[in-house]
Amino acid sequence: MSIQLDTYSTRYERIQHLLKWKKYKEASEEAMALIREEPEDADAYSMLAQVFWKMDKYEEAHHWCGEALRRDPENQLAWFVKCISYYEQKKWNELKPALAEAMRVDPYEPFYYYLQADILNQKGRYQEAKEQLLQALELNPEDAGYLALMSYIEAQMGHFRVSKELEEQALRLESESDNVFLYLAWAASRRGDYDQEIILLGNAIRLAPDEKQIRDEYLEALQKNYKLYRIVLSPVKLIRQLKPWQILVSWMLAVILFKPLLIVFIILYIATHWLTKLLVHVKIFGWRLK
Amino acid sequence: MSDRNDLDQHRRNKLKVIRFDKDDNKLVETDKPKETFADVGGLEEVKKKIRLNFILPLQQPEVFAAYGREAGGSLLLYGPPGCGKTFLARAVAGEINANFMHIELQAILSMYVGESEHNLHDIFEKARENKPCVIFIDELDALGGNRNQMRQHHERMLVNQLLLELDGLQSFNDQVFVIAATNTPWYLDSALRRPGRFNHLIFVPPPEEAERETILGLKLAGKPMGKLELERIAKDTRMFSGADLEQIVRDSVESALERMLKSGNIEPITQDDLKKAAKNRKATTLDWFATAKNYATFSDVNQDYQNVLEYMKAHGLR
Repeated sequence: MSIQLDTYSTRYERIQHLLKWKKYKEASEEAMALIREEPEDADAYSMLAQVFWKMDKYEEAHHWCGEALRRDPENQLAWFVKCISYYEQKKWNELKPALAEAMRVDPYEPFYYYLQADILNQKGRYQEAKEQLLQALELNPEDAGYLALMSYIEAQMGHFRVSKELEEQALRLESESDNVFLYLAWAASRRGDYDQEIILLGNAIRLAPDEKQIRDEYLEALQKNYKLYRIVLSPVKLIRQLKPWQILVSWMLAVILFKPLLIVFIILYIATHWLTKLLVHVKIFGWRLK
Repeated sequence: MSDRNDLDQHRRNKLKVIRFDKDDNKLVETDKPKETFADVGGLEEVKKKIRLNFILPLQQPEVFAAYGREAGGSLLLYGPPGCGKTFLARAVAGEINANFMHIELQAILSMYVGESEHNLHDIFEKARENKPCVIFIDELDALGGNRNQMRQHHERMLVNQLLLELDGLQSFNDQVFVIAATNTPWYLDSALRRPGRFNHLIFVPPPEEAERETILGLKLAGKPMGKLELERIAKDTRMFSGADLEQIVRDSVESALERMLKSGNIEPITQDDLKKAAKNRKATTLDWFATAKNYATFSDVNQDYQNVLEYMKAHGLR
């Protein structure tokens, strides 16, 4: 019996090692071997699901989560992988019930509150997002990722000073997470602090140059290095501080009173956008296609 | 002269190739590889560097001593998978007049805390006992990952142990050479890249056209073949790694076997078999280059990977 346990824990450790090294093919082989050895062990199936999730093979991940949950309906890892897979697939309808069940099974997992906060933030329901995130922070107050998201939410709500304080807290806790830098960069952009945005995205891209989203955000942020682009962006900064009805009224007034100037401004904005995009491209990639 | 050659050959026959067997959990000796640099197609720059830093200092220590150069050091080979890094290491073992230790790090890992470090130390101690010795560490990124990204203390300990052993080599400072290979040098802990450790980076690119033709010839050797124009296949397989070419040959063999099963006779591998196999496969190196380009463009603080960008530019890769 002890030999079997040893083999099990060895395999389990090896799978975790292989996942950390991003050797997913080897990890899946080890997980399959574990399933062959322990065919009724739900953890073995949920580990395989975890490997497939890391490989972005969501359908396979869901399948193996299902196998794990058939054997153990309250398997925490399986619910975790299920939820995060739905989240990354942006399957909000499926995510909602899965998240509810996952939180019932594991009510002290802060990541679920974080997921909910992120979804609410994307929908513009900032106050509700903040409430969810506060619960995550209560369970894990020193998670830089949660603080970074909170900084972003506070910036969205116009609480710039609080957002800045949260940024400092997050950076004190974690200085090697591309995700943290990304959220903090968004918060900085929301506050109109473009210099800080570029610094934060520069750190994010140094850590994860392979992430397309970070690359795109970084290149876009570099455009803000150009003063002309910042000038044409300044009305956008002002508009963000207005409520929707205020934006509509301002737009109608602008059309009536300043129509020719408005057209000139729009042309100028588009031209500046593309010119600075070209300048950034040449600076980073030279005179060749990406 | 012939006495000296005989003596040399006799000494080479006594040299050991040692590897860590994960099933037995101990160091075992194996046969010395028969491959030498002559079997490695292309990579002339890489071979030149290895000759200069590893092979010649052993053969002519007095010459190098005159320049104040000691025999020894370390080298990091990096590049896309399947392009000959491990094969090159075997060729070094065949070429060099030194013992050769091949370490696969996944093999030395143990579930018991502290045992992996112990295994690693044993390997380096064994190397020191068997000087001159070349230690080849395959998949260095599996061991020497960035410690900042490691949450577990015992994972960081293994990187620390490796750093200690490399620095230990400096203080002993005689005739122990370390070659490491990795597909992902950007994942390595920055401490591994400091002078005295793996600060010599060598990019091992995919084979060029002539080399691809050679590799195809070697892989097809001994198999029933029709009239083949390997230069055309080599031309159509730009950026293919050695492993990709091997797969093409396997696919062609499969096609020939299928015909054999139908006809009942030995069917030679035809040009069409190779063409079809090449068409159905994509170069696996392209993914590596896409990743490498991002690291080289956005995350290359020390300008270590600029030659990758130059290579990509020279070969029209976006």
